[in-house]
Amino acid sequence: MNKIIVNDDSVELKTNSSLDIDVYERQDIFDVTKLKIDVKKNTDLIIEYNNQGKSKIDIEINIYKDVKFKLFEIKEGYEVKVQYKYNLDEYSNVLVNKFYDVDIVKELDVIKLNGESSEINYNFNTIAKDKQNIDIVVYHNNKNTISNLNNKAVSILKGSVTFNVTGTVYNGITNCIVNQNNKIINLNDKKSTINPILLIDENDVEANHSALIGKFSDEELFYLMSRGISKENALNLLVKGFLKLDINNKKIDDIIDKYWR
Amino acid sequence: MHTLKIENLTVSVEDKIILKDFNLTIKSGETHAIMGPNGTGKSTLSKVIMGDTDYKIENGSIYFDDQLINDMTVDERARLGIFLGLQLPPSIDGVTNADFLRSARFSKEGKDFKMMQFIKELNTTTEELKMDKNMIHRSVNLGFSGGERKKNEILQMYMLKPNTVILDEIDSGLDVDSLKIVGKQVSKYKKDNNCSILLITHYQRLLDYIKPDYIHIIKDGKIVKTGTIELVKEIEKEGYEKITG
Repeated sequence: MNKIIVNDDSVELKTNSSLDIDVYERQDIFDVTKLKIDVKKNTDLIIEYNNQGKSKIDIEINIYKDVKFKLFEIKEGYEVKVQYKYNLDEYSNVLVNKFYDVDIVKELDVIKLNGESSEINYNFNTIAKDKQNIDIVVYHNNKNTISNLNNKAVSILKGSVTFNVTGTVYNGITNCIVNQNNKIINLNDKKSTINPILLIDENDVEANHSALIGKFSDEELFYLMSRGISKENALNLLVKGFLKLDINNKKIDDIIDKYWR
Repeated sequence: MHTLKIENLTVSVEDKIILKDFNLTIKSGETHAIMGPNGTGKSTLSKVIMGDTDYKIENGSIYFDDQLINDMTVDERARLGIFLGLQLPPSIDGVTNADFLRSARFSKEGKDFKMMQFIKELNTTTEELKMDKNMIHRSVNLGFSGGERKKNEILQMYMLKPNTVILDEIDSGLDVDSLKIVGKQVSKYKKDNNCSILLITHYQRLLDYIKPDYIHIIKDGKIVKTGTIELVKEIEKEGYEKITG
């Protein structure tokens, strides 16, 4: 398993030959840590952020032809400004799972499905305690490409979330699947926003989008509590269920337990 | 020995009175069936006993073993041993049955909770209820048929071992075979645990398997007639209107 650990003042690499990584640390006036990752063989990567203060990161990930790549990120801390570029070659397949426990987030993800039949499955989950802006743009630059985006947030305390999610298919780029599913559970009275955008200039495309902002239903809470589960523990179960990623990770459970137990 | 006592209970929903001066006492070992036409307050009764805050107690008292429970939260009432099997159990995406049941059992038993015993009981009960074992790892009630949802309610009852069981139209959505399984399992549970049961139903068919000691006919938020199983036969023959006037 490859791992990159982003600390306050350094980046640690624990990687093997499946990845070529260039790190350009804090090279410009904006104090941004830049990473360029070339994925040449099927592999997994974990990126951990151990910085407690502010962090600015710019990551470019290039996934080569026929390569399957899984990325898992867990972010804790106060403030994150981050920009990702994913470039997928033909027949590459990418799974991204992200879990954030951060106050302030400003994030831009640009996903370019450059190669024919490339596919990304992108799952973004966050517990928002302050203002979070997440912009995701997917460019279907070749035919038979697939994007499935699932973005979920639970807002607490001062948390407010904006998801701007855009899928783009140009004319002539046929037989693409463009899916996005965005949900925000507000456990406070702050305003959150979802802007699902599909820019599609081609008829031969399957595209779906959904957006939901709301609370856990009283009916669900009543049901769980009617079995003897306290309100706090019922919320814990509902949040874990809502933010569930298709992976077992004790750290995620611990983070949720920190707020709802 | 436990007693659930409802005294002069008046309940409203959105300012509309649903139950009016309602009285009922249920003791351990007794089975009571509440019957009546639609919209007479049967489900309201079950929800207000469980503490649903959508239902406002305007007047009257609910006692559990002489302890007034009017102001208790839903989970506190459940931990006393009151269980409500819902007419329409909701589905909860992402929360597995296993996590749900484990949390509920842990809430009841605390440090006495034993994982191995829990798993063993879970396996045995799903088998007895002829449920698909994989449903344990599926989201609560998600994609379940009406019958599977009702069986899931009975599974929860077995796993949580309540002393006072309220079953709100547990027979609806069940086919003949499933009704037989559910009916027999509820009877077995009562026999093994000497609990009290309050059944809310429209039909006699459930009572073929769960024999009630008392039948109560409810109309306009009040019990208007109490009798034995003979009363059910009368209802089937004559209808509610004729019997209740």
